[in-house]
Amino acid sequence: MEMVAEATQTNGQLNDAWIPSACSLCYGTCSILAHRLDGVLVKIEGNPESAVGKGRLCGKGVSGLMTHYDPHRVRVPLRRTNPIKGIGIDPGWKEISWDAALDEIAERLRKLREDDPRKLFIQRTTTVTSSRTPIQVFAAAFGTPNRSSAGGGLHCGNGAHLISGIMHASWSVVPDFQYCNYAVYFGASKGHSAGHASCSNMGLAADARARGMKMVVVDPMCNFAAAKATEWVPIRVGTDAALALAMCNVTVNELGIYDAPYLQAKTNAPYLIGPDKSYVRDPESRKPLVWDRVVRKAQPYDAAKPQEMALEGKFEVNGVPCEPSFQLLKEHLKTFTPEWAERITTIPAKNIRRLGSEFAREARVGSTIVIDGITLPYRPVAAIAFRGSQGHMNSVYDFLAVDLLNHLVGSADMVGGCLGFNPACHGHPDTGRPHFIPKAGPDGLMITGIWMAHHNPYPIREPRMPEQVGLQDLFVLCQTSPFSDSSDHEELWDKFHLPYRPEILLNYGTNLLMSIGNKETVAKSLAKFKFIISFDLFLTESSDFADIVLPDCDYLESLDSRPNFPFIFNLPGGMGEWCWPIKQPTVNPDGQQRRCSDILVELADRIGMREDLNAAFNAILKLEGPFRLERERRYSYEEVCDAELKTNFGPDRGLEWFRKHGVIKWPKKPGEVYWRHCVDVRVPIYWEFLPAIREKIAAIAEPRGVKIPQEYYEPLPDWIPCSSHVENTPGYDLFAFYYRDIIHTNSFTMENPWLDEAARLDPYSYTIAINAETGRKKGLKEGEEIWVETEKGRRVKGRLHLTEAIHPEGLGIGACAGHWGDGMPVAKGKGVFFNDLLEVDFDHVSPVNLKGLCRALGRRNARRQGKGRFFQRSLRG
Amino acid sequence: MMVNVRLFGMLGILAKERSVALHMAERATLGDVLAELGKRFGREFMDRILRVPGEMHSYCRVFVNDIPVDDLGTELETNGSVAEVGMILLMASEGG
Repeated sequence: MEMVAEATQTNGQLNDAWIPSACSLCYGTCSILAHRLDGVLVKIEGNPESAVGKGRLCGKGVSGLMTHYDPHRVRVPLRRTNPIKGIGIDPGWKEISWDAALDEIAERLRKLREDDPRKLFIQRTTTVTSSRTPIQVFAAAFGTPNRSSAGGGLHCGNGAHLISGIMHASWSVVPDFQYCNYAVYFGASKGHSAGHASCSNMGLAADARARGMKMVVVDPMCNFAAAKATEWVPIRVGTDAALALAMCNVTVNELGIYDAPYLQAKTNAPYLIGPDKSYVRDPESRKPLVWDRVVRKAQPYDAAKPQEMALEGKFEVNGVPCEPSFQLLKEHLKTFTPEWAERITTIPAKNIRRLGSEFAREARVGSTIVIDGITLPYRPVAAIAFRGSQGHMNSVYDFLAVDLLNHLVGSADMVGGCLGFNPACHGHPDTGRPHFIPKAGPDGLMITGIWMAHHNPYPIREPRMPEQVGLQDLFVLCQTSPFSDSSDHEELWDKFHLPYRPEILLNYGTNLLMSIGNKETVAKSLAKFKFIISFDLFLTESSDFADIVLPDCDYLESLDSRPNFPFIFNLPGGMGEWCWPIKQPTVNPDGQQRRCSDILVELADRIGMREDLNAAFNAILKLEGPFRLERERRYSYEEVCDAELKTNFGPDRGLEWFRKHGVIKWPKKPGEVYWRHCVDVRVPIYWEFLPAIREKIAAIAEPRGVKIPQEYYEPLPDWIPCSSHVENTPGYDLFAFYYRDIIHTNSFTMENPWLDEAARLDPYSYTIAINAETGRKKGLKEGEEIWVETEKGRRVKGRLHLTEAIHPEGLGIGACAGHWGDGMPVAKGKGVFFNDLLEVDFDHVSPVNLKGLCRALGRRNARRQGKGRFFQRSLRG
Repeated sequence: MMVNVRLFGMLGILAKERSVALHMAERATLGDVLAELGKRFGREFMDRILRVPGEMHSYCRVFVNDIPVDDLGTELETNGSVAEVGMILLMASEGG
């Protein structure tokens, strides 16, 4: 174990130190100062020197001490003795040495790699951002394409990431709080103590509201975001796309408000579309054509001046009738009248019309503003979405419909508008690193400058017979996938002739049994692995399926050179500062815990893949010059971190410098934050590539009996009802949904006594929320225990909370709670295990991005139990 | 010119060779080297590297004499007498 950080501020006592590092109670990864007194951590605060949190820290962050000093942490390596695996089956743990553990693991991995490296499946939690790089590196070096995040990504915003990537070159979107005057949130919590850049956004959002920004929150539940909103718009679960499309219609067709210069220069709105829904292309260059209004003929998109491109009209090019994609969009939107949307969303048409009108008028289309001497378009409106509105089968269209609002009024990545998180960076003034800027790709559409993984969202990959267990190489618009654990995975793998089966699972911190779907389905898939290695802080429900559990260091004992990089993830957007903090050990572990990053380096050596590992580090960290790792030399993870920091910030700013200073920062420039105005790239308001992608997927899938529905792959967004919207089994009359409780992170923090106490005091965290009037009609009483059952017969129980703060048809369950294992005794029995209601199979995911079998959409209905009652008041066994 | 190609991770396992020595014409490009690898290791190997003809997957990383290169038209320069090419795939999904 390396030396922990020296004191940075003292009050005269030798062992009194405030150590700059990074939080890991959620993936916001805010910068912290850990107060260590005589070797004991006594307090954690936000680090005011960092732009990541700006000195603020949420309740989760300050309570990290209680997780760190939890007596139930795993402190020694454990080997199971019971070969039988299942829920509730005692693994028969016995303590073993690290050497014995690593010997066995290395031998198994070495043989597996010789046989077929794809048989290794690697899973990691997103909560600890610092696990991303070591695990990406290890996977690349080992040679497996099978890596996933957070239990199949079910806490993840798959749809949000895909569309944020294609439309904003970023992982997620946020209002430009400093300048935004009108923000509409569709199931997003940016600025309300959760998610990306959470603490920074809290302050920015609060300041914006104080300044007068109107915040409209569209949500089935008036909780964290809506409670702070200017206006809460209760919506029927899973119908956000209908509202957004109707608002688009109001904007474009009823008011005639849109930003023509933006659409002409920054989108594919002028591209001509033929009867086959495809671009009409130049016969020679194959570039999409636009209609040039001055010369009155079609030109390749890069040959005409944007202001001369037609957005409307009907034309004929080389005998082919065609229209600009904006013309098609405009016509398409006419279908979505506010009256139509009212029937779907339950929001009165007059309110939809008002919301659309407010958004369009507040956009101030045509206005400009000067920032740091640069004149930029000023569009102070933002429509944002995240997991809440798109955790279902229609997630792609849903997010796209919301984002269209921004593109129609030209507010995407403009001042005051909807910003991607930091997609363009010119680098530190001394080194020019890190440097990334979106660029134009095929058909002039945008390629991200940087991405969280290495499969850029655009250009779209070519669908192929899958070799990934998640089938991502067939369903090329998806990121993480549930198919490693689904009930139909064997059937799918057979259909697609997957040439191998996963045999070893390397798990980092994920509680798969709780984070994917119903536990029986996931348990079956876990039990099929021949060997499971799990890095854990606690013995979770999923650890019980492991063969070897390795005691991990927690974030206060760990090192990472890039906890907040790439900047598109959890660095605050908008003007301000670029900021690169590190995470560093503040204390040594009190048991035999070792850091996963160190163990992976050691394992690579034992397996005999040191060269591969160094090559992967060089590639992923972009190490250059003298800091590039030599092929055959063994490096510690500490040395790797040092090399990355020196590559980016110069030889004098290595790990030693960062240990002392904690963070480096430099000012953002308007050309970086509002890059879209400055960079010649376009984004697709018309997803011309979708039908072709569908055809290619269908050509592989449909002969094998997997139907790929056309309606999800049309170029323009639509509202498609989920099965729960058309479910008519009597008694199933509520839409159940999950939401992220801001007190908790996934299934991890229920074990933290302070957070558990806060959650028990909170009327929502551990309860099932139903509209008070709805509950009264059903004869339900506050506080009674009830069962919730789906039409498939899956059931969970919990304590009822009746509230006015939820849509009359909604049933809200917070957090990923309901632990049943003994390894987390504080968490055990707390809250409701929503995921147990969820099917995990192809029929319950988006056929586009494989998202949506759970959370936030009422794919599951609650129904009465027993004759004449909607809920049984007594518990069932 | 001599070109040493080092295949890391999955590529080395697929090719069953971790180091490949190629005799290439002077002023050979990275694309020429990939074409030669394609002849040697077949279409399945090349499918891992190229998204479409003439363009690599975004997750394929190639280093020529330790410098990252993504333009297949880049002419190789020898580092002394040999050009060193390193290749690795970073294919895996991400969430959050």
